[in-house]
Amino acid sequence: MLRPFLIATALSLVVLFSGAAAASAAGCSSLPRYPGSGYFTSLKVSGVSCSTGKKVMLAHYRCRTKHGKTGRCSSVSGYRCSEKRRSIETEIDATVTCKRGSKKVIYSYQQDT
Amino acid sequence: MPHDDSLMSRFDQQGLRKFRARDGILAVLICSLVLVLFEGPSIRRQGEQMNKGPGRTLVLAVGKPAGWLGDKLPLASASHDATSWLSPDDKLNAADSFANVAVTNTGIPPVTPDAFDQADLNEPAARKEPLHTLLVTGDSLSQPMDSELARLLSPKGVKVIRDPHLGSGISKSFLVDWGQLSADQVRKHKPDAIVVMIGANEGYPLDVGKKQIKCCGADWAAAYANRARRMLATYRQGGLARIYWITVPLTRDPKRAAIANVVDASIFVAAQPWRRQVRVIDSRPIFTPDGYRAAMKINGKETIVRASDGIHLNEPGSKLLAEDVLGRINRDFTVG
Repeated sequence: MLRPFLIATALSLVVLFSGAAAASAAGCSSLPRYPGSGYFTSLKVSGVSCSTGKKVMLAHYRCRTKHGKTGRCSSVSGYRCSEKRRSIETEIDATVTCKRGSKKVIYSYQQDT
Repeated sequence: MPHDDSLMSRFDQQGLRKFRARDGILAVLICSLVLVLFEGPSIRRQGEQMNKGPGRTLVLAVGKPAGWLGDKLPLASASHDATSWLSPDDKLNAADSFANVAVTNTGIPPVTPDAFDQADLNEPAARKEPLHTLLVTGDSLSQPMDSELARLLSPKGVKVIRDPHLGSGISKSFLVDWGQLSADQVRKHKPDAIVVMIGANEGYPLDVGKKQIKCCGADWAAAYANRARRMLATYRQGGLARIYWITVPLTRDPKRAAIANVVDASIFVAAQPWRRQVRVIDSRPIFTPDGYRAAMKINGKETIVRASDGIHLNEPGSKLLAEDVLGRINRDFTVG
């Protein structure tokens, strides 16, 4: 009687923790070189690999800078992207969140203006 | 010319002559005596202040005995007291005395010996300690100088830790808080010396209490200097470590240059209390003595020293700076 209960509890815990791990984004250590004047300062992915995250990040850079250094981009490679900026006269610091279903890529950059 | 008597007789005829010449001489002698008795020390003082010569000798010949007499008698001091109301001394407050300087609430902590670089004093130089661990940190400005320092020092047995934080700034804690980061660096590495070069990404508003201060007035400079001072307090490890803080060379973009000017000024102020341990290395006389320039002569050859962005140093520029920094390190440490 006790054994099925323990197995069910253990399985529930595994599901719970794996769900939590999937929900929280994992940080990627190596960042690609920023194509313009500035830096990528962080990258976190959830539901995708770091390699995919880097591709999305670079694609988003190309998309937003089509409209100039201060340009924006709301969708890239099937991801919908939102951006939170802090700007001064000489630079932009921003955090970009790109989502596609449960997949998520969050990156930040510093762009000289 | 008529005889004197005939001239004086005019007064005698009218009954106007009251005194003789002898009386005049007597009056002068009495005045001189009164002067000697009451102002003898003044005559002596006057003589002592005169330039060397017969005049001084003459005045002192009278002034010295007159002064001695004045010192012995109470008349001179009585005269001084009686006439003091004519030129009263300013009333001084005992609370303002130097004796109370340490406890006077000026709002500024007292100066300590750590504020003086030994090189500026006539003190024997402190014994050089061996350099074991060097931390090179900052924003992107610290690159590739950090590699150059590692290249120069690693073969000599110095552990060089490179810890650049690209895109970061002291005024942008939302990316990385340098107060926390510096404490973490010291905890992890316990460096004997720290080379810091930061300031390419500054100019963000600074939060001070509930106020937000915009760049780049005196309020912002003070807030920035306070943050830098906090870092220096951490890095110096109670006076055990030496810090080499490199200023930002002038940038090509005037807007960035304006920010860099304030950042550099703040660093000099921040370092003041600990000049014994903190060396501010001014990169401007090296790279931008008369305004921005991309190239300069190195070993007689015109060489590009700045990156294409007009902000960073390129490899030759970083190499030159690393050699300068190493020269400063060698004054404080034995290497190899």
